[in-house]
Amino acid sequence: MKPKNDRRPGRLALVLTLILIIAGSFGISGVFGANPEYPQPRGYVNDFADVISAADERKIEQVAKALEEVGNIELAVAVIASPGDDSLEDYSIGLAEFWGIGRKDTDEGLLFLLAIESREVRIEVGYGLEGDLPDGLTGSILDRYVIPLFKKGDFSGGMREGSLALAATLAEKRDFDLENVSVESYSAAGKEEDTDNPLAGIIFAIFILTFVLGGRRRLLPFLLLGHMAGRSSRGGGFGTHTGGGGFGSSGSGGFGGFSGGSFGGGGASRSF
Amino acid sequence: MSGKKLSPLILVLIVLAVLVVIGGSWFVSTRNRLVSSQQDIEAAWAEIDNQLQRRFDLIPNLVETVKGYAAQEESIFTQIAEARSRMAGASGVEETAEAYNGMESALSRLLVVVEQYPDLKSNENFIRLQDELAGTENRIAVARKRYNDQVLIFNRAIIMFPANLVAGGLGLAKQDYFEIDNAARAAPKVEF
Repeated sequence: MKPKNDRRPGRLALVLTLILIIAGSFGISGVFGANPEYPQPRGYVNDFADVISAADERKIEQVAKALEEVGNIELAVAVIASPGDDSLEDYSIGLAEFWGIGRKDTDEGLLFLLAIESREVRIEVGYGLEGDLPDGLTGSILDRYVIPLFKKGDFSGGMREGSLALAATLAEKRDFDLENVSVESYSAAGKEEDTDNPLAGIIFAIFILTFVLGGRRRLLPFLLLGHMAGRSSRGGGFGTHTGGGGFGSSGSGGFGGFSGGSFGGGGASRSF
Repeated sequence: MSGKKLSPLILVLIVLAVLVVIGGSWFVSTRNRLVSSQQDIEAAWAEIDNQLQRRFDLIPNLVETVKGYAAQEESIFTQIAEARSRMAGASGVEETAEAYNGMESALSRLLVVVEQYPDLKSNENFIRLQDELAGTENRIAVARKRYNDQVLIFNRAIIMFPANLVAGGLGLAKQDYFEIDNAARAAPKVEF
């Protein structure tokens, strides 16, 4: 209305541009923290510290692959030097979420993580598996199958036995068969020892007696021994039962990446 | 060029209309963003609440187990019972965080007491309980971090110009962080 109106289009453009800039800069002002540098996953087994032997790695891969194919559960095994400035728990959930272990819709993923230099181990349980693997059970899997071998310096064996025990426990709870993988002796993390073989039953009974007479301090080694005796009396453990891939076929055959599962901090940790 | 020049009035109306459309859609989208951010906070809080409840439920079990071995440590059981009832009565973020801290420090005192009872420490049931305890503590830590991240996003959003105008208009206020006392973390790592 004032005489200046022939300059308005310029002003209008200016005002509009300003509004757009403000609105635009606002739209992209989300806050996203940067991740600490988590490594990229290499397969089911991610041995960043060269701890797991080639043979054990193959066994774990076979069982992880079977677990995914039969049970739709993703198991990741990782060995790192140390979690750095983070606690093992913080690092573990960060890594598990970064990799997205477990299917996105079911969150049925597991991370079995060893920090070799800081001497800590953790099983991180995805949301969808918290019911099958409550923290107490995860802790007892570590106590029964992993820590005794770690104590002897057998880290590779501890990671193998822990992975197999996790797979066996899930197979039992979810009632599926892991083909090619003998899991009987791990039923429900050793809670129900297989007694269909009388010899194994007798050996187990002797160990129980010894345990009762000898005091509870010796529980862990005896359970482990009893468990190994039970296996050998059936003529072999995982070493001979895991079939499938020949010795030449290393590498993560069939690993198609993890699928976006979420974690809420369930699981258990041990220092050793 | 067209012979007829736009009248100043029409030009002003066009400018106004454009401004109203832009402003309106900006307002609506800002409002939606803030409200959905507020919903995220509520969801994150529900998860904390859920885990706090779980922890709350574990405690009687733990206390019973410890009592079986250390019945004479009455004062610590009383402290835990008091801390637990404060927890039950707490409402709001700040009060809950405070009650949680009190409960954690009572629990950590309990676990110090436990050190003197080797039979209890190696009791299978107790070890499982300790794992459950450590597990809920870790879940609370995770839920707390996720909650605080959401609060940070929201609190930042509502003070930034020009969204603060929308937030002010809708009466959205800053949300409290869930602050815990790190020294009070109760469950030490089970060690062998």
